[in-house]
Amino acid sequence: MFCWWCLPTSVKIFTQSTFREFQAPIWNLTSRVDDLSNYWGHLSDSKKTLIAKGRELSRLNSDLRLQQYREVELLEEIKRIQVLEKKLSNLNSSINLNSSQNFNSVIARISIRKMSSWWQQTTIRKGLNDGFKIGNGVLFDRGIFGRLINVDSKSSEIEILTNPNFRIVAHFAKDSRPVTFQGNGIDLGGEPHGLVMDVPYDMNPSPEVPLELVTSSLGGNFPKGIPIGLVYQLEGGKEGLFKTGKVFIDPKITKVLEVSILTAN
Amino acid sequence: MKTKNKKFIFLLVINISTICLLTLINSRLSTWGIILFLPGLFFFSSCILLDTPRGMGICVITGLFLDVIYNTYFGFLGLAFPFLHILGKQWLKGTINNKPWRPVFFQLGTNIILSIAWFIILLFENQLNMKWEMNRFLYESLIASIIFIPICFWNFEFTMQIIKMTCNDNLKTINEYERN
Repeated sequence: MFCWWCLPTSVKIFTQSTFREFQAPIWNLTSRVDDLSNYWGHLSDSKKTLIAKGRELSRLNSDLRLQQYREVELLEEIKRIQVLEKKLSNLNSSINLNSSQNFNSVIARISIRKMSSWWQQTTIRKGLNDGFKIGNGVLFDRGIFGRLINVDSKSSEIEILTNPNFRIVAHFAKDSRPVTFQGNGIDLGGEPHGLVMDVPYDMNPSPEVPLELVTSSLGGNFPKGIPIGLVYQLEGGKEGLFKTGKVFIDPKITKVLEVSILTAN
Repeated sequence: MKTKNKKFIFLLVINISTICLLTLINSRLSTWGIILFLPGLFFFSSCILLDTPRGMGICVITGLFLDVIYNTYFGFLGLAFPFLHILGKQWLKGTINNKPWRPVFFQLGTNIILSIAWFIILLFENQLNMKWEMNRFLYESLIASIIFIPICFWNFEFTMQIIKMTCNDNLKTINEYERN
């Protein structure tokens, strides 16, 4: 025990990283086997399943046709947005504000989830070779997922939004004042949640009209306005200046199979 | 010497394979907010099958491997396992009653002690207002303990069968291991 304490931190970090690199191919392989078995499972789908999928597809096609009818309208909307973006960038440059946060998005598949009561992480099948860096933001289809905390050559570890060490600047939709978001674990039953702190006293959500918490561009790792979760109730802080509350995060966060990693452009 | 090294390698492979299977199960269970914290499964076989230097070696490797998987402080299980290895050896020397459930309950006891130790460490560290309440800890420990017992019986039998097949070892029960 004494020898272990005497070891320099660099040696411990190196050993830990070696163990992680050693484990990465195992999780990669098991994840691929899982995908393959899924594929084979679908190959032997019954006629009923195929008919149901066909029906679903025809609904999607009809929705697509409806969208095509709106093509002219949407093209005009795109033009309007482009003009607004140009105006905004002109304004930014006139006050020397560099707000142009451009991100590239890389899709990666999750290989293993490690979501204990004390720490929530997942491992993905892409790493340094794909240009990832520690701190890169990660999104899923319902909003923000987490950020990269360890990047190895062919795998990376994501600190999930619910992790108690995950802290970012956020704000409520339609309100620009910054607040602090912190992960607060996953309850028994799989309900993920976080905490929102430093909320101005005039914010009053209710179960009928919850407030949507979104990302802020101040942190630099996420674009502005990505959903984090919903706040139904706020309580007064000890000092009486700010409020705190529970943030309800989409439960799909614990079942995600693919995520999008935001790398700097 | 050759048989001892062979046992060391096979035991390490069995431990790592079981840990990987357990991690895959935990990966699925985590969607319901449950995790099986079962480090107590992985030190006792080495007490029976290996001498102290090799046993300690396996315990350190397995412990560090588990530290990375469970995200405990790197070295927490890596240090606890060699200590438990010595404790297990002493327990084997001292025990007279050799009913098969006794080592299982010994391992269950160490598993609970490790869980409590980890809980206390995090409680004293007060990691950024982390919410791991006492009742949640008790639920998780209870679920893990219930599942631990059958897995422990299976793991022990499986390890013995593999070692018997691969190392041509005639050892069959804990009783016989002790006499050797």
